[in-house]
Amino acid sequence: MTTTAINDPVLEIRGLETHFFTRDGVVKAVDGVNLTVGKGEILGLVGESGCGKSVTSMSVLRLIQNPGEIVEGTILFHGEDLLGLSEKEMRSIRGDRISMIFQQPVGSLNPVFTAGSQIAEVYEIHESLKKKAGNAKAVEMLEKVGIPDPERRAKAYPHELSGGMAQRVMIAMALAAGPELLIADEPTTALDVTIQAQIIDLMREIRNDLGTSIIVITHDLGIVAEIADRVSVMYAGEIVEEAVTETLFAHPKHPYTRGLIGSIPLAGDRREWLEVIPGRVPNLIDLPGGCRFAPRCKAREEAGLKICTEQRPELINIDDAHTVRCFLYQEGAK
Amino acid sequence: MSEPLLHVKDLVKTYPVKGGAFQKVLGTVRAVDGVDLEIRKGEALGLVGESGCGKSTFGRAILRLEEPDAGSVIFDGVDVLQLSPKELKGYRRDAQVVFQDPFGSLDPRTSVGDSIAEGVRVQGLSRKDRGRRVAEVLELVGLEPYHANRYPHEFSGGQRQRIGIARALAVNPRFLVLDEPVSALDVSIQSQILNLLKQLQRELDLTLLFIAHDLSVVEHLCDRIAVMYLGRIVEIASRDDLFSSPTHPYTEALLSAIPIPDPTVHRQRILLEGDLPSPLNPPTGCTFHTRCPIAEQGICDVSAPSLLSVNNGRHEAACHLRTGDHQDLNRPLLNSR
Amino acid sequence: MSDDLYDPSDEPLEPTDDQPLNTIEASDAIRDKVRMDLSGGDVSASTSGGLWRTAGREIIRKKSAIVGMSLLSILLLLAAFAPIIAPYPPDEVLFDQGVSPRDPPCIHLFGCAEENSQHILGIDGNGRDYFSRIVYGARVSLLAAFVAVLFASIWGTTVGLIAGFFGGWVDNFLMRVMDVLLSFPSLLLAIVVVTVLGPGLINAILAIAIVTIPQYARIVRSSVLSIREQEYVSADQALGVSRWRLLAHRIFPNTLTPLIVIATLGVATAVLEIASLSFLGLGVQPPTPEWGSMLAAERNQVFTAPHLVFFAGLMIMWNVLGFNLLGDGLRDAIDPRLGR
Repeated sequence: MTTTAINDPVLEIRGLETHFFTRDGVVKAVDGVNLTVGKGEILGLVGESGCGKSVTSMSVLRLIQNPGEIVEGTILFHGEDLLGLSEKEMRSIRGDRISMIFQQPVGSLNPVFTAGSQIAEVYEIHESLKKKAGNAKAVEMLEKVGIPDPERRAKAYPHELSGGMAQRVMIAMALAAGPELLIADEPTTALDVTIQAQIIDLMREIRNDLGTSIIVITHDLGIVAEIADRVSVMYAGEIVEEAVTETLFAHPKHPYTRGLIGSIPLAGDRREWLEVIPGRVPNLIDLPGGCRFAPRCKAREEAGLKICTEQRPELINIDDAHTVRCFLYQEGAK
Repeated sequence: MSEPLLHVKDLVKTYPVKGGAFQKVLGTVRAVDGVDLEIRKGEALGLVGESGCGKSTFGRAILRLEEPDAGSVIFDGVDVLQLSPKELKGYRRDAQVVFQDPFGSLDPRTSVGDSIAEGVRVQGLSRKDRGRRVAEVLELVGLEPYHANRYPHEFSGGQRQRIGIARALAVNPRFLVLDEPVSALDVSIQSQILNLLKQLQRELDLTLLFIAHDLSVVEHLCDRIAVMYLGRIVEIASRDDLFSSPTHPYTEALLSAIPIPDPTVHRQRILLEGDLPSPLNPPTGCTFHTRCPIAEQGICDVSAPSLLSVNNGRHEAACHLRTGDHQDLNRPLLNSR
Repeated sequence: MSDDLYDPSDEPLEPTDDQPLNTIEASDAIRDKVRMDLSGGDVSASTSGGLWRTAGREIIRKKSAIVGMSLLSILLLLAAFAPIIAPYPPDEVLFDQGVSPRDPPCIHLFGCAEENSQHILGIDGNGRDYFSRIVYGARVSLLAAFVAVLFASIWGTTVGLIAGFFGGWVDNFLMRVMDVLLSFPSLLLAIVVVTVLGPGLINAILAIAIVTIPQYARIVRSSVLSIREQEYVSADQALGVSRWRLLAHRIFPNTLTPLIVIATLGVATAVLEIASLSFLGLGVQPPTPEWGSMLAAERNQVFTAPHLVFFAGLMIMWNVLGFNLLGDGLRDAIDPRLGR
């Protein structure tokens, strides 16, 4: 097996396949994903649009809607398979033990209730608190996520909040029930740079203070480098590389990861030309046989590997905590 | 030092804010509030700022897509703002624009070729020549001539952005405004477009105004960078000067906020308090003083600082405490810089 | 600075032999760097063609649109071939052929005596073949509704385009007029208009058209407002495209989609309103066969001769249902936001 030993896993995804049955064919949005998140760990899930990173997270919460369906796999949350639970049991886990924050904070809040009352509602439902006690806890929570003048903000409606403020409210709401796992789907993409930095710092504080495990889903490698302990890189529905953050950035193995890192313009970087990954993401209905990255892979051509277009590569352990799905690192693959 | 191609003087663009049952004017937003800027021939100038700072409005105003309220835009010696609609036709050939949204910037009902040919049609090219020109610019941006007959929905985001660039280049402009041209694209496609823009700038000897919120993207392409905050330029410098010795506290904060894809680098971050103030009711004095970590009461909230030279160079910043009369009060923001 | 700096004629845009336009002498390496996202797969070949063709393909896949189109094509056939289908002229009084008023249907196949002449829907109160009148009724109903919607949508589109594109006081004035029209219940307003103009088919059509103009104007205006803000319009402005060309080539074609949908649904409403006006005696005048007025003429005979009320009502419903289903299907097919 290719799993790396993680102490005290909160979430273990094994062989997850989520497919969308469209008129044009079956879209294999998630196709055999394994992921493990340890207690108090921040896992970065990186990939470009359409790679299946968001579908993976929606699968964990079982929020996949028609025509999508989880066709295979197990999602163990503290050892219990979420896919085997009834919808009622699942509801008691959502928002209580696993919560989620989204890219568009303002759109995710209910426009007709105040920020405070929306957070208070979480307490009323999950802890059966009275309205007054719930409100008091909500103000406390708003303060915890760094909102100045929390009493006044609690009475504000979502449209009266700025983007950064609304994202803090979302985080406060997600944290209200004291979840063990927080899934953040592009939490800073819609925000300005200076506000983005504030939210990154806030999420790290949450982990440090509350011990919450966090999955950060993003396309931005910069954010991952700043926040994540471990990184999984997704491409066309599967994990292609996984490693501790420092290792991944210092020694990226998979040609896709290397291409991604090389294609970002860095501050202080004076390269003449940016690295480029040729082509584009494959059609998830009609995936290339063999390695899914093979048609865009320059390293394959340089190494003259034939197997890449013939066989699907497995995840290989490079060392303890570094796995990669690539024939370049497989013994005897020539 | 080459001469300026575009010289913007004291440009102001305001918008009335209306509300209520009878659309009464409640106030005015000064989206661009007295901007002076010089863009030299052949250079790429980056204009950076957070959303709502007026950078896109500035780009639209100098192209006369919006009519500015005051100021002048001198392009190659002619004040563009004084041109009649007929005279403007020539400027339309010299100055072009590429927009952010690869999905919104092409008419879904028009074939790609017709969209690209629109500009040369206005300039009076015959149908046959238009077809030839479309094929030329499509090749220029890395597409194939036969793509001209296709419709926008058949292309990916990166390809659409190339089409947008081709449309702008079709009239053979000298000056190109790029309004966040890569921020809607995936990382691996971004680098393709950035490389393309860089190559085109060199080969066609283009002058660029690159508007973006992302300093690291701008850094890759631009020779000089201007930082905008609430409708004003707060700092302008060559790329190297700006990154090595940022002078305005806002520039410093922006730089420190860029996520670095290198987990081994742990730097101090300047966290700005709060959010961008409402442009409807901007703060008095220096508009940044409400969020500025070094602001001094009695100075910064009283008068607006003007752009002054840093060390008598071409590096300019607008800060009382860093370049103005109160440099003695200046405190460093980070202790390890 | 002289004006000739901006004279488009002083610098030829066409490439000439001695001065080629934008010649690229890039190294192959650079070319590789910029010519990238094509190699991984070309634009899909299967979906070529404009949006209209795509929409056409979508419509065929919508069940409701298919059902609607089937219902309507039967009606269209009835209307087109009425003289062939109808056994009698619609106005011919058949008392001399041995029928009496409100005879029930007589169909030989179902055991009606051979010596009686066949009238599959029976005879109306004036001794005319009811089936023939129903068939000819399709002509009046469809034609009137089409003309009303055509008239209303042309004027509504014009008003909406002008109001949305020019804005300012023009917009304010036009839309306030539309608001006034909308503030009356439409049938009531149509009755007022007919009362002023006098009853009759043409006036009924005019009345219904006038009261529905605001619907089209509002839809068109709101799409103009959103299209005007699109970047492709800005890009054209930057290229120096004139306002009229923008209006005609960019904005108008993009307003057509919602317009077609509401116009189709609007025909359904128009059918109903024409029938209503005729029912009240303000629309089509006897003896012209029209379902609403046929319904009105026999409404007191619901219990004695129910077939004379039932079939006219059924046809009105048939017509309205057909256009509603087609309209819904069209909306689903054309509106990209609903996905597939």
